[in-house]
Amino acid sequence: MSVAKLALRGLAVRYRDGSAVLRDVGFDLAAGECLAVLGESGSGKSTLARTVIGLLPATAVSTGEMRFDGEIIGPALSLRLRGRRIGMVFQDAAASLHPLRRIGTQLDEALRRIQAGRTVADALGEVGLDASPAFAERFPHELSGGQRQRVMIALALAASPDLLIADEITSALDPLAAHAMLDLLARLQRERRLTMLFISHDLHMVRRIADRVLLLRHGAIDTLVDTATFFTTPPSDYARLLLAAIERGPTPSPVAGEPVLQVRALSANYGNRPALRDIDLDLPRGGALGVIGASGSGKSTLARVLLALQAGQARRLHIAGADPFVLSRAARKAWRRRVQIVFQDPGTALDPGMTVAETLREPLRLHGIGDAVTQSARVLELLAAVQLDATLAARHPRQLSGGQKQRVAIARALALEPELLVCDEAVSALDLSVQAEILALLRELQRARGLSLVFISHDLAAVRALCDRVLVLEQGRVVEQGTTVDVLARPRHAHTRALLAASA
Amino acid sequence: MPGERSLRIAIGLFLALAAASLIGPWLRPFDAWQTDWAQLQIAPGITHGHWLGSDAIGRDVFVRTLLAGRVSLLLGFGAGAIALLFGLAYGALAGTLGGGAERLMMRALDVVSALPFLLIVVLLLTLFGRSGTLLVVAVGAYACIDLARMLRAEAARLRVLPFVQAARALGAGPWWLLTRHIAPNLLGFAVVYLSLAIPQAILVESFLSFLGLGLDEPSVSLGGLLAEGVQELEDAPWVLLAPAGFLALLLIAFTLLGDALRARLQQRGAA
Repeated sequence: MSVAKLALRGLAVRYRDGSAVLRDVGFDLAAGECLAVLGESGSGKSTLARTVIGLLPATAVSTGEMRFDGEIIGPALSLRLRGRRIGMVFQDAAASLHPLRRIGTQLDEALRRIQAGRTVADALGEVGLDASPAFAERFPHELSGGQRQRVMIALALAASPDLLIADEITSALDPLAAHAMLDLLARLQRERRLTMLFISHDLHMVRRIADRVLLLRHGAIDTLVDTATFFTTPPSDYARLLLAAIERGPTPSPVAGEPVLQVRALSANYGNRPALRDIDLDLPRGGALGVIGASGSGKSTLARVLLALQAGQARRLHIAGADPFVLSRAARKAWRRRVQIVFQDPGTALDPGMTVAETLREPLRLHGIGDAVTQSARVLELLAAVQLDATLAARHPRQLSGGQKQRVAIARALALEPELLVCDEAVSALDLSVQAEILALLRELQRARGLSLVFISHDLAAVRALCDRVLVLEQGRVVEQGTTVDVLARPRHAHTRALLAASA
Repeated sequence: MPGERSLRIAIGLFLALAAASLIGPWLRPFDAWQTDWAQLQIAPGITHGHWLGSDAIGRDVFVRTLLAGRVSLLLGFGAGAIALLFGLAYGALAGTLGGGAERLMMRALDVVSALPFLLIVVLLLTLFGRSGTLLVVAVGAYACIDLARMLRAEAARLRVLPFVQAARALGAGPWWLLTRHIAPNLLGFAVVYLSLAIPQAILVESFLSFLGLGLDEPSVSLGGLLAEGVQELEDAPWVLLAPAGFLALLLIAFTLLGDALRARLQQRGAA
């Protein structure tokens, strides 16, 4: 057997303050193989990538042995390897590209330094981008997230590396763009015989591209098996837990009843350009409507209009019993008790200066509900409703995990006993197992309180498990809507089919 | 925590200077205007009692420097307080309201800041007399323009964040958003800016006093002392060096403080 492209033995990383990030990680990566490193946030998967490419912060110490083509590489990876034999692409392409230089110039610089003969057009064409000079003239901010990510890959490939490390490169993309990105990686791997370390928390992506799966948990290897085995007969409890999290339970059957939401011919702008055109939608009380679509399809604008956070024009707008845009100021404030929202990013969902108790008391104080004593009791009730410990009440957001913050955000939305809850990508930023918990919580709240949901998501699995009906948006228009079972099993519109194919 | 040590040094230096200017003058048997006829323009020393020497008409440099430092500190903090109060209110309000009101408020600020500040202050001081209050208000108003601009931008950034949007969805009006969410989250930012604006105010006052436009006699300020010191530079350099040194130390203390506070703020933002 030939020498492994990358071999790690007993790799450990700890920070100076004593916290261990990686413990005893070892594996062989054969040439041309794609190994997925799977793990939740804090599992050490990005640290692993940074250790291999020698980009650990100065406060971290690594021990153990790393070999590349049989040759020992130290913690300070030589420049001969980094960027030449080993390339890396990060999650945040916007931050990795120079914002003030044209992408052609940036590519040209990389190509010129290493490889004569290849042109910018070749490099752009290879990653599936427009190879015309006009495209190379663009600046990073003129590209979509997926296009920027492709430019990053072209940059990483400029030096013809043997090993490509891809750190969460699909996480910030919508499913269609992520799907196309995987196709690109698979093709590049085939054509260039690339060895790949594919770091991700997304099981769907991993299943599609990896030959083997390395599951990290708290910095140690939990499982290392080939992909087929991992998904058919998961070898550890933790792997089974993660897999269970994507099998999200049966689709609820359609609910009938008086409408809580009835919208006809709704249009709205995002800044100065139209974002929603001619939207019709209906939701009966107690139902859950999934809104799916690629990024830029107008999903978030819809959420903001339903909450009357921005203006919209409609022939008929009936949201929880009223049209908020014709109400007086006082009536609209009262109306707000009936419609609430949970946002995507738990990191900015809570005021950093307020404790959990203050955050949960705010809606009660705004509407003058109860006195200090009853409000405190209500805070405890709300914490219990979202299954959080009462001791968290005194904490500030920075002392909470992402999942805990999102639960607090949900509790705040529930404080006023709304009829309609709009969730704008409310689980997308969370780890898989936490997503499953939050979805279960939403289902439970719906059952116990008769809550109606508008669940905006690009995660079809979550929509399938939570929503009895679905609406598909494309560029601000509804292209398809109906019961979840119908739409997802028998999609009529091409865009729905593309979305389904991307997240199968 | 990084920045901990420099913060401690900055606070230590600052407190030492503040304490010296408060207590120092009482340690000596002279007052700032008393002429010691026996010791005109004497060099610094311990034995004759004038630790930092005396000036051409026999006044004690040590006492005068510290008293002037006290005046400068009061002036800096007074101007800082005015800037904080009005800058925070104006910037946070504009940023919270957004839209047309925000544009109008900021353009008005642009107009004001296009006026030649120093010229106007000189004019006011000449017209209404060289009063300390006027100086504090003028310098504070000037600092408040920049502060309002910066806080407006920061408030506009906060305004679109989910926690502010969530509060709007809960029924909070602009006043609630401003007082509960926006202003409290701007405070750290404003304090860091103040650590730059206060020394700026002290410097402006020194500059005006140096030109003879500062506080009226018999008040002493660092700028006034510098102006006097320059006259005697060749015969008695200590008359200039003492207030110059105090001013330099004061500015260094504020700069260190600002750097350390900014590091703290960034760290908290990142955590």
